[in-house]
Amino acid sequence: MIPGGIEAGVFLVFAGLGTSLVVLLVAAGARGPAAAGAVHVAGGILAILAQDLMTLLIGWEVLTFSAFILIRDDGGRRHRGVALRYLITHVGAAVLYFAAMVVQVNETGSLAVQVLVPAAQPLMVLAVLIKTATIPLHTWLVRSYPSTDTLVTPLLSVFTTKVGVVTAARLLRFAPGGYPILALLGGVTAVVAVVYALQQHNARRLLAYHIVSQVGYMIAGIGLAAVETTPDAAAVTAGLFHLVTHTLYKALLLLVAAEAVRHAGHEDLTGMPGLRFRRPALLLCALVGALAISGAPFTSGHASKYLLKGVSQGSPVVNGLLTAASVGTGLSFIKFIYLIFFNRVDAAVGAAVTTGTTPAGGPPSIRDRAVILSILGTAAVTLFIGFFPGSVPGVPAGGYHALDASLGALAPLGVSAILWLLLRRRLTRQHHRPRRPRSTPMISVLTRLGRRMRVPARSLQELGPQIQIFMILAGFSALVLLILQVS
Amino acid sequence: MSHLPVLVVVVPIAGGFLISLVDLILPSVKKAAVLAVALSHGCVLVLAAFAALSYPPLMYVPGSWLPPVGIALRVDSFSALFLILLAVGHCGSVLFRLGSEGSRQWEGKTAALTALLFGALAGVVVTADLFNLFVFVELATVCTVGLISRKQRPDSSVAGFVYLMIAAVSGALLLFAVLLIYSATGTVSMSLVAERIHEVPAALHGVILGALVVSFGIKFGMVPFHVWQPRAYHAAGTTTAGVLSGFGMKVYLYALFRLLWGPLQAPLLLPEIFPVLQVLAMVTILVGHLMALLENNLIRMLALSSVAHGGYILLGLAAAGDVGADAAVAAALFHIAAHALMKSSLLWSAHHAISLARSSRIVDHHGVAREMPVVMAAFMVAALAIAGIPPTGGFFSKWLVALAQGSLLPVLVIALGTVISMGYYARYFVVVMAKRPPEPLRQVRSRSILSTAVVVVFAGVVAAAGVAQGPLQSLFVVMAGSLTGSGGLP
Amino acid sequence: MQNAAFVAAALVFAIGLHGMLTRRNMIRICISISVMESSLVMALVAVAYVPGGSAPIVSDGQTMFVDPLPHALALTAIVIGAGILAIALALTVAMYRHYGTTDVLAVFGKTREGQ
Repeated sequence: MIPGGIEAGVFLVFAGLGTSLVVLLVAAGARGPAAAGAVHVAGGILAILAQDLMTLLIGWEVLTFSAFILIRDDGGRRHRGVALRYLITHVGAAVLYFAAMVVQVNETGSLAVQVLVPAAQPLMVLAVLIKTATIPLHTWLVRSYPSTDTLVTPLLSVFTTKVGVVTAARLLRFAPGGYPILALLGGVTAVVAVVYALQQHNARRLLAYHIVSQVGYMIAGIGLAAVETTPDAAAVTAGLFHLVTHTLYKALLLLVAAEAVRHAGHEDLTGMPGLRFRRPALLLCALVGALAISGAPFTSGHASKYLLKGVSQGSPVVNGLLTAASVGTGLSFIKFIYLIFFNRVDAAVGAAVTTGTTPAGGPPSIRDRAVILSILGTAAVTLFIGFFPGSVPGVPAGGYHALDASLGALAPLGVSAILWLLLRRRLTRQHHRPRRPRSTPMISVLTRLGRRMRVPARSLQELGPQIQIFMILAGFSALVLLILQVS
Repeated sequence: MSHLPVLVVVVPIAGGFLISLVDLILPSVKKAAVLAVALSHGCVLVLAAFAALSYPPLMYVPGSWLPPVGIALRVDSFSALFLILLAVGHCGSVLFRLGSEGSRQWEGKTAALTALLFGALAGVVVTADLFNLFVFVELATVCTVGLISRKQRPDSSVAGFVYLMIAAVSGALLLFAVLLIYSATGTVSMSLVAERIHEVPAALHGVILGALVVSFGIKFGMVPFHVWQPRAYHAAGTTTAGVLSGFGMKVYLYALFRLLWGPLQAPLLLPEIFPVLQVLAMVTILVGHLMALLENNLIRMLALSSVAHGGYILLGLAAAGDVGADAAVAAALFHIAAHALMKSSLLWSAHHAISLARSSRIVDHHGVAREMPVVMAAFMVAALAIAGIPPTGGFFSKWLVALAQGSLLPVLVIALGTVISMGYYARYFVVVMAKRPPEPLRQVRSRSILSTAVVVVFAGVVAAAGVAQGPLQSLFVVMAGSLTGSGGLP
Repeated sequence: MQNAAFVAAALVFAIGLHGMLTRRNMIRICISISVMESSLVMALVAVAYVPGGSAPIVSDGQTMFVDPLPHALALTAIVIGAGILAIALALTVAMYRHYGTTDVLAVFGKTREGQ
């Protein structure tokens, strides 16, 4: 059953964009990833169509395992580690969901998708925060997405976090004491992730941090639905509309990055050869994506951010955080476009960084044509939504292109431009040692603890028979004493 | 037809000795004899189970000597599930062994011991008095020691000896408990004990209960009495470990259920025990999973996972005494059935991987899945089910156990257990799916379709059980009702 | 009378347990297991004792007789104990042939994981 309202728009994006990205993988000749990708799309569609909590959980799990297969890729050592961490993180999110579901069913006796009982909310909030890569639980995303094949990353970016957002929109209204914690977390994530993104030089890692940041916007919108002063439906619609627009332009940007990486032969933005006007169509599409994510007027990103701004009027903190994030986003994408298209790399360094995969030139292959076609398609849809936001189901019409709205959107971008002029040198400085994001401190502590515990735990497992018998007798005595005590 | 309760014990025990005899006289027809014994035992078990499901309970009094002097056998719909499981286990293990092992492995007493073990386990299920319970448990112990040390490698003798020492303590505790029950009530018939147990002083009742919990806790591997288990399963080899973990362990849990609800009337007289059992179950789950995570040997890893799953079943048992009886017992039964199939499927498909890699260390299994995709697919389906990933049967059993809990802590323990177990199964998965094995694998011996079919069918049934969970659950509630005496009514 | 028997049984049980927990020689452990089981048999026989009862042969006029049930249990326990003792000794022989020692801890240590 197709859902109504804005969820129909989410469904259309999941189905349409997911299918075309799988077709792209097929066209590129990647049979294995295409099969896993098809399952991934099916999982996402299952989640958006789910009418009960169990089906939604199954959707989550299908997404997790197919993404695990996609990230594991060829089974190289590094991929394996990343994929394992991804899997464990998301199974962790799913079991928190499971626990919340147990609480919900025990209290209401029903599996229907509805706002959860208060006792189940904290568990589900934690599950959603993991799923949506909210800082500081974002490391799984920035480690795993950039490590896959360049054409797999757009597909991955469509579903996992977005299904988390949909789940939040359906189940969560979390504001203990009238304090919109979820919205604040979303706002903080939007800002902090942008700060991280500004420090990145790897094309796809930069975009991955922007996914984290933009999902923060959505969580902020949905989190505001719990505040009494904000109309519930408007906040959810704003969050989910931002999901729709962001999913499209992020896929577009990731595909542009894939093309840039193919030209350069590596992923370091500061070492990109500078395509300039050699690929005018690519430049135009990249501009469409960059303007949309920065929220420039007449773009889809502007429309959804406009709605978000509307619902965040009641909460000045969230509003301020989102505006600050917009400034950073604009700055980051000026840098992105500049480095890919207009940078002048010293020939020596450029040659040193470039490692020889097939450089561009020669007749385009089927893969290249398919990538170009997908880029054009997503850019067209992004433009269309930008001009006619009301055409997306469930989105209120009108007001997006008014003068004050446009000026309001241009103000942060102006700040970005000024900052760019000031910080250009620092932002585009070449780095010879790419920084990899560290894993969450908690996980690394646990891993280290596990390694240290291995020997004592093993020796515990190898106790001699007589010590075992002694333990049995001690256990028996303790049990009997305990029973006598309690009875 | 009316002799079915006694036939489920007599057929395999007579069959076991027949197999030994055939081995001496006509070794060429040994396989046929083993298969015939297994199939006839399976038939008798299933018939008895269905008879019990339609006319519960089925009483049988050998020689018409009524209790307290005579002994009685009793089959009700609660035991019916375990009879069916034993039928599946006996036939499945024999079919698997027929398909997987070369003729060399057919020498020795394994087949006879397996038949005897299943006879003893069936005896534990059908017996209606404590005396016979003790006898059958000890018979099962002897068979288990024989199976553990059957390979006549030095380390299997050691594991067998250690198990024997531990089992001697377990047997002594069981006999001690029976002795106390007899001295307090003057009878060993379960139904008569149940009538008189309320006269027993609470302190003595507590001691009896403690002795029984520890005695069976040793057998099914409750932490901290589980230390023998990985070593024993490793020594026994995958085929036998599948029998012991999949089916043997369940029968000891059955005995605990039966004793607590039947003769001891624990939910009525000593409900304070159940929170204690709940804590023990949670410790068992966590320790079992964490130990399995640290393990680098496949069989030992699976053995420790089986320790953890004993904990899930115990958690269901604890909730049944504490919160709501029938739903919780039904959840435990669901998990018993699911785990029996999942764990035997895992261990038996591991058998193929181990014989291919000639090692049970996980690191030696690089690229195994590329050599035998079907078997490893079955392994992975069973692993997803046992970790509790929806929509498999293993997920729904955990879900029902979690729903039956009265508080949040056990639910979180179950949830954490899923994460840890997914961790070690995924680690094995990435190893077997890796490209290019570091050294050439052994020339693939022809695996028969039979042994592959057994693991595929078991894994498939568990995966499909998720779809049929509604009817299955109502069946298990009926079975639980015959244990708790509510007749399956809400 | 009965209490004296119980005390004796407990004493024998303690001796068996002590041997099982402290001896390292596997043959001694086997003996200890056997001693431990004998103590339970003693206790069983003592439980069945009815003061002034006769042998449990049912006939007219006899109302006082000792309970035959524990006797049957005791006999079975003896048989099982003998069986287990035999297996334990057989395993001891097998291990002695391979390792040349009957020290249970030494043998256990030699078969630790990874050795």
